[in-house]
Amino acid sequence: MREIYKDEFATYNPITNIIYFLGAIILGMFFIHPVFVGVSIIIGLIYLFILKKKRALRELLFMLLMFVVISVINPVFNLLGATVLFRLFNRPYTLESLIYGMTLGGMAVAILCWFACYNCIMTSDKFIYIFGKIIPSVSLILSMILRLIPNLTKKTKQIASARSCIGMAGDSSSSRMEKVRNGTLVLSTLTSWSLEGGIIMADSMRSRGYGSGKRTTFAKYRFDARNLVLILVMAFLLTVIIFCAAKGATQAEYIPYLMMSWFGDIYMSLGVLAYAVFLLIPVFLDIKEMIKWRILRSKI
Amino acid sequence: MNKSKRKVNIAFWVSIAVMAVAIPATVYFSYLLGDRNLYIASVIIMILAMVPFFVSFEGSKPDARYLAILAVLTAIAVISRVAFIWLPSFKPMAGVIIMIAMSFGPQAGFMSGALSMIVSNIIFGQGPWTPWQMFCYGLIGFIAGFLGRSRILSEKHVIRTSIVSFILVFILSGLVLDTCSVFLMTSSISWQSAIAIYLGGIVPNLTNSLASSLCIFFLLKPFMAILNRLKLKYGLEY
Repeated sequence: MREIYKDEFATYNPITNIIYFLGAIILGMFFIHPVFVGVSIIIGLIYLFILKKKRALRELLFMLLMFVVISVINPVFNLLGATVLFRLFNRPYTLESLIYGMTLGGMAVAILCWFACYNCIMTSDKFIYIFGKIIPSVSLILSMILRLIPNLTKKTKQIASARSCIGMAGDSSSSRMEKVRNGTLVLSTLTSWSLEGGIIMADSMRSRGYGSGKRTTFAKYRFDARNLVLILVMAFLLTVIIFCAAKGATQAEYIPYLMMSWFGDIYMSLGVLAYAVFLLIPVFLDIKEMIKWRILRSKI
Repeated sequence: MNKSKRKVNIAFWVSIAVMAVAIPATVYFSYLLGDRNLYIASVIIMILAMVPFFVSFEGSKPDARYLAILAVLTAIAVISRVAFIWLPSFKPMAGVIIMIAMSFGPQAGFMSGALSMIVSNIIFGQGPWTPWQMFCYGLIGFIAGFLGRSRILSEKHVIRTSIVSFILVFILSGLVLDTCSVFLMTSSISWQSAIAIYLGGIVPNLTNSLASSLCIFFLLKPFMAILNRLKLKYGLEY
């Protein structure tokens, strides 16, 4: 259903992955400063292209559309701002609120971009690994559902082919009403078949002692030294970023005049640097791995 | 059969009380932090609002049969969304969830709604809208569960059930999902932009509710017959 992406960061422990993505997404939502938003978009896109190669282009198209819509529409509703570009339906269309809209649109694109990367890295088993300890019943039922979906798809095909085998599936000449009735029958068969299967599964679970004690889980993830090192690095960078943000590095005012901290401010420069390094962690890991691979290959 | 063992338990009400404190606290902190944290605050509130339901589900120590049946039915709901992916915003998933809720009560309704949304987003991709969708569909299931208990939704009245579900899905997706778009698309929320987004959401919401209502119209009788037979055969009292 979902391809495995060759990426160094994906081989790390799910806890490390989720800390990174939570950091990237939450900070991306918080910082409404054009430079920070720009850094987030550029690095997000770089990582997305590393992960998905050419297939990222299709998502890029949607993001571009969203960016244009949000940035053009914001000045239509937001009339404040000192520099009037032109008047639309006798209402001022101002430069300040256009820039504000572009920053907002950029932010939405950055968030979408990070979610696209998240979807490549955080597979469903990683998701269940994280939540399995907090909400055991919910994560058990979640893993059951995820397993049932391919199973039910297969069963649907079996039912449909069995019905066409005995000439009950209808053909291209059948009316719309017949098609609906046919679909309903397939779904009813699927439901009763899979529910019976579910009951058998539950009885089998019970006879193996489900609910009689603490449930153990199997996971192929280990928490080793490199994960600890990476988490400490991320924690340090996040502390620096939050400290700089508290000192006003990410402040930006748009209305009525543009007013924002710029690179002359030491906290601002430090904040941007730490933010960029934090977001670039997976890219660094991939580059490191590529260099290592080249060295190893040249030794052969 | 009407006597249900699985009532909404104490853990649910306790966590509702905790959330009644936590949600205003979130609003207050986001107010302190300034304007651009509205979206984050709204996501946190959505997640907090779901906590009582999950706590009560964990607290009720669900047995294996209940888990398995809920898993199968939720998987069917997800498949109903996957099957119509080529038709934009035509999602009969809410219809299946309403039928699950009618048969198994509010708690099962919430769980199947929220879980089917998170699972279908695992397939289609998660986004900043996931908590909102989970809460919206969970709430549809929860309310449908109560309406089913009070016999407003019933397999004996197919037309009435379809119409009530149409209204339920339309109102809740308008309230919850379009509010998500308002927070996501605009920062300084003004009345004009909010109204524009709500109006823009009407057509997709109508399609979505129509899909659910059609699904209930065609499937209510066979689906409920299967579930009732299952309950009778295995003596389930959910």
